Amino acid sequence: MNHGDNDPHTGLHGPSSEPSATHDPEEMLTADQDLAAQLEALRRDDAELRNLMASEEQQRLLVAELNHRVRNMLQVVIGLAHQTLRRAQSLQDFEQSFMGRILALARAYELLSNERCNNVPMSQLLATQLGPFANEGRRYTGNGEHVVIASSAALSLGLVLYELATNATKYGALSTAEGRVDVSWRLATGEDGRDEFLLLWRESGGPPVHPPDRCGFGTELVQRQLHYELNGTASMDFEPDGLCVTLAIPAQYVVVEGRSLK
Amino acid sequence: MNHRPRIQIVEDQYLVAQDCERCLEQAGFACTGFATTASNAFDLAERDRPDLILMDVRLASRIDGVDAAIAIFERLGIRSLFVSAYADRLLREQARLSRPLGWLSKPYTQTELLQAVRRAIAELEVERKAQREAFIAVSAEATSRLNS
Repeated sequence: MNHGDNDPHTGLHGPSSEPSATHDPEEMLTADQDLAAQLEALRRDDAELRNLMASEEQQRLLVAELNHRVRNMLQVVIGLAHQTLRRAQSLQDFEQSFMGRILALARAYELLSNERCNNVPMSQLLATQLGPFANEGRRYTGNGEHVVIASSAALSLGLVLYELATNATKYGALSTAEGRVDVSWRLATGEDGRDEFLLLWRESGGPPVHPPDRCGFGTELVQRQLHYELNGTASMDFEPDGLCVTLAIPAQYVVVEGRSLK
Repeated sequence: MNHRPRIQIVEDQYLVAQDCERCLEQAGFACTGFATTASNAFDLAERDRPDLILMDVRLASRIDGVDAAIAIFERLGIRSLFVSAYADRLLREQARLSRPLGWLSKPYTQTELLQAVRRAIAELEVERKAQREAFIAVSAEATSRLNS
């Protein structure tokens, strides 16, 4: 930036206070051009400052949001610890169950952080929760249209799938060498006329199954969490072939091929 | 209070809500019900008339817990003990219209939860006692005026 005559202040006030200096048309043109350039520079500075302030504000909001989520998640972990502890038969049992659930949450979170839009493809959610228990895909299938689960539902559904997977490993189809799990999903119209996302979990080839004598925390979580958080349902049928579970959640929590349903 | 204090839980996460219920029930409180949205919270409060509401600020609905608490206090006279993972000054300022019974920040322990609830109930009792005494004073005055 030039100083002296071209200083923005003298540039602005100069012409009126010193008329003799600005009668030369060429000089006037140069002064005018300088003024225009300075104004442009000022505008740029102003825009930069505004951008900076906006991004600082955005960062402040992001930090607040992150704080909120971390604290919330810690409360969920505390709840999970209490509930798991209450049903644990031994310290070792607690360790296994608790760590399993924490890692299931971590896997679901990882998927969420990988996806820019925070939504998770159904096939990936299934692969991360069931895969580790089913020989990384050799003992399960997942079939359905390309459906993306909204971030607000992904943790809930992820934890439910984990409970089903670990249950299958302990008592169901994945507790034997031949058993397998076939999962399919689709969109359907529910009894009340509203669209819903249906997921069918079917185990086969495992030992004979029967309803548990006492309702474990895993079963309780499967049956209640989706209902509580997503207004969904879960029904468990102990069929001769193996356990068959139907999960239903409102279609508002899923997106099909880039369009949101309702 | 002559009865088991009755508490409504407004919280959108199942694991947190359930843990909270267990803790409160074990300590001798009665849980009247759960809500995950503002309108649900209002309907339940209207039906069950709990002594107080344990109100999470962020809910599954567009309307947050602060606005729900204000509506519930203004229309039903029931006060809330707020639970929040991140309550800034502005939020607390807004919430004053609902005459909060306190603030509990997440994550909290069971001891902290029970302390906050007991403190809230003590405050309600003091308030009720004052109301009762004021009522008795007014009726005594009315009676004496009638007799004179």
